[in-house]
Amino acid sequence: MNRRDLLIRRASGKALGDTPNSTCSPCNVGNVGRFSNGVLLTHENKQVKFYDDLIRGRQVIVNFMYASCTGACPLITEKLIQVHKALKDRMGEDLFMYSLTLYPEQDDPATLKNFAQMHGALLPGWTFLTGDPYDLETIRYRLFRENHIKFDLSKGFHAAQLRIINDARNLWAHVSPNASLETILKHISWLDPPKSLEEIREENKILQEKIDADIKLHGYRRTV
Amino acid sequence: MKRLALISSLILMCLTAPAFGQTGCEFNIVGTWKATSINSVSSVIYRFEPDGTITMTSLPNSGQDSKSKEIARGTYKLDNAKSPQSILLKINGEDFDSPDRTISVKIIKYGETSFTTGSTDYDTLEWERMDATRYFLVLAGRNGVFYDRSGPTFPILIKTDGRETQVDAVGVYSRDNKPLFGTVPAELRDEFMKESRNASDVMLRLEISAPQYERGLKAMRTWDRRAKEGDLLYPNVFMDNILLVKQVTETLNQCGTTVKLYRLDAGGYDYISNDNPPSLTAYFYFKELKRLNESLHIPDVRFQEITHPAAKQARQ
Repeated sequence: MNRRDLLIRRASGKALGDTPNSTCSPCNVGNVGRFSNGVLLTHENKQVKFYDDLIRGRQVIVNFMYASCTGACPLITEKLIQVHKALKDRMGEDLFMYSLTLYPEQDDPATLKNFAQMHGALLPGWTFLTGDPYDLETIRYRLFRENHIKFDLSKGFHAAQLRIINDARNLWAHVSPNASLETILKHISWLDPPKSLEEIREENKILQEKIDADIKLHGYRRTV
Repeated sequence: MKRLALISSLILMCLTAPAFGQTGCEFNIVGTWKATSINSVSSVIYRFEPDGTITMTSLPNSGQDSKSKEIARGTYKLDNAKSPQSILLKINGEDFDSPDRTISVKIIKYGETSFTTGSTDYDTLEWERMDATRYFLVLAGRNGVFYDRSGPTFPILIKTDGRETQVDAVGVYSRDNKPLFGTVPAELRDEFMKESRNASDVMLRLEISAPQYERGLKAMRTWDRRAKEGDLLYPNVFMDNILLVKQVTETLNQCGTTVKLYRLDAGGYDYISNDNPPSLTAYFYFKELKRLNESLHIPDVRFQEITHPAAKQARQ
């Protein structure tokens, strides 16, 4: 995509990533290599390609977990449910959540579905995934690698991280699932698709009204 | 008092529980075993087939015209491969004195290459695996080849029955003095089939069991696949190589300690990882393993005798 196309898109108010899973022209072809395209199984026992079907052109939140985890995973799942509630209008539309198992030998689709059901996480736009250990290991290193053997080999360490990706904008962010809901939502918003001119104008208008009200109440030099 | 006895027995159980009973450490009885009674010097060879049949043959005497003779045939059943307790043997032989020709022997302890059985009616037997195929792991490394003084470092797995030899090697090798990761070219691999006098080379050759070989080969083939499909875990091939050598060497002790290992995990105590760049880590890891396991190293002469039995006979 050249600068002209980008400007036309912006002017027309069309976000770069507003057509999830489409054959998006801004998607970097090289991204398949960055993510890996291994075939995984969803908790509904459906085969999907990791990049082509789940990541391409989308804004996603990815984490690793395992069904028998009694430590951090249930707490993280609870936090992700809060995130889902806060963004429920977008979930499954332009925002997706993927929870991949660290132990595919133990976690088949039925086990993952059971886990999701038990924690109330069978929600739209949220998919639990298992597959070949080879592919899951590749994805884990591609997304969460620290370039340090001790951390990279520790599966427990990877159960406590969230990766936010907007493939259309080619942006990645990382946030700890132990952070506050507000912080996590803030991190997600940093990767949101670019807003249209109308949306930006509307936001600026609301902001200006707040500033005006503030000035009216306190004056220009507000004393705290 | 009862509670004390219970706790004592639990502690005893924990202490005596075999390290073998771990994930992926199923007891594989298929193959040839030499059973020796602890009360006598007599030994019998048992051949356990995958289809559940068994053949018993006598051990050949040291005399010139002696040959091993078939004693009996029958069937066997191992109760549980994950945690074996007993083997049920049904013998069809002529000379067997058991009326129903069925005996159950209790497995007292077991490992990958040996196990011990006992029963109320028969002597305790020590079973030792004696398959014709021999397996070796060679840890090979060289420094001073690449720009940062590092060099090719890779494990080699060898399987030989005296006639045919299969050699697999995956790791960092050199092409035009550049480091590459994948299947090591045969000419470089063959340089480490013999002990080197070069001070920059390190080579440790260990004889391993069939399960150890299979586990090592599985890890090696996975890394070979990663190299071929562009799925290496790190952009730096030396980091991938560290994981490969770590996996191959650590699978040796997966079902019980057979070699002394160094804890290579970049932790605070891991001076090899902390004091060296990734490109030299695997090399110094091999050096440390060589130091720790010097007594287990198979020298060239012994290795030649195993892989070329004719050479041994000629020398004798």
